[in-house]
Amino acid sequence: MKLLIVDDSLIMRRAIERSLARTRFKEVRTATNGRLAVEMFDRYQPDVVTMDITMPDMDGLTAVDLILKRNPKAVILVVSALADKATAVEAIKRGAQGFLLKPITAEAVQTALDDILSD
Amino acid sequence: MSTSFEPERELAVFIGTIGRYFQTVGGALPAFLSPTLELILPARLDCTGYMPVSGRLTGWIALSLPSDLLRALLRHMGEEQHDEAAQLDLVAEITSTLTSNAREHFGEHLRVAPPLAALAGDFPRELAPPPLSFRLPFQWQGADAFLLIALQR
Repeated sequence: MKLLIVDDSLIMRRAIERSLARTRFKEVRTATNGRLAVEMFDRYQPDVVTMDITMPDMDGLTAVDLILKRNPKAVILVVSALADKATAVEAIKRGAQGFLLKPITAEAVQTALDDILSD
Repeated sequence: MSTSFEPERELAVFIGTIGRYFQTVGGALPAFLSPTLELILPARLDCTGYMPVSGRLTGWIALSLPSDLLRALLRHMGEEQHDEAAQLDLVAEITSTLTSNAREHFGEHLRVAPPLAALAGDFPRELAPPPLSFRLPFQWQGADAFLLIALQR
């Protein structure tokens, strides 16, 4: 399976990537903002997207909208801090499937990805 | 949720968010020391993350950490890159997460932008030095660090 990790922090992208060892994701791509995430989604067609909210250039909510316009069945896990909760709820209303609270642990990432794929 | 932001009374919120972050990511709680009111901008440690804040309150919230602490956190996370770029990236991410989680308590009084990161001697040109600030020092695994709240109405 293919995963697209979207976060402006290199350390966060790598932390999510390291947590994939026990998951079904064998191919991983990354993007540093919402605009690049949409471009990568078009090119890469991932099975799941993990999406940060507060990012420069284009925020995660806008990217969620654009990705779901391209593919209404896209599977998106919002990964954000509590202040983004209202935005994350809005993203879920618009079609994102899950919300993972920062700070994250490898176990939390694995569980969230398992949950989102079992839905 | 508070109807106003009073840093001297609301430091407990930041103590909670900092504690939770270090416990979750680093496996141990920090020890907090007495907060102080600073009339000049305190010297920052090796790497500092700044969160610009706007809305009814303007200014910024900063987290200043030494390299030793950041390297220890990176090791704990399983990250192999420990250089200056990784440290600045991590301090920005921690500051963003802490401020965002605190903002859940303060509500619309804190509207945040993506974080900025700077080395000790640098100060982001996008920000203005504050007339005063609240400094919340803490220690984690023997390293000194502090949070700086520089907000005004």
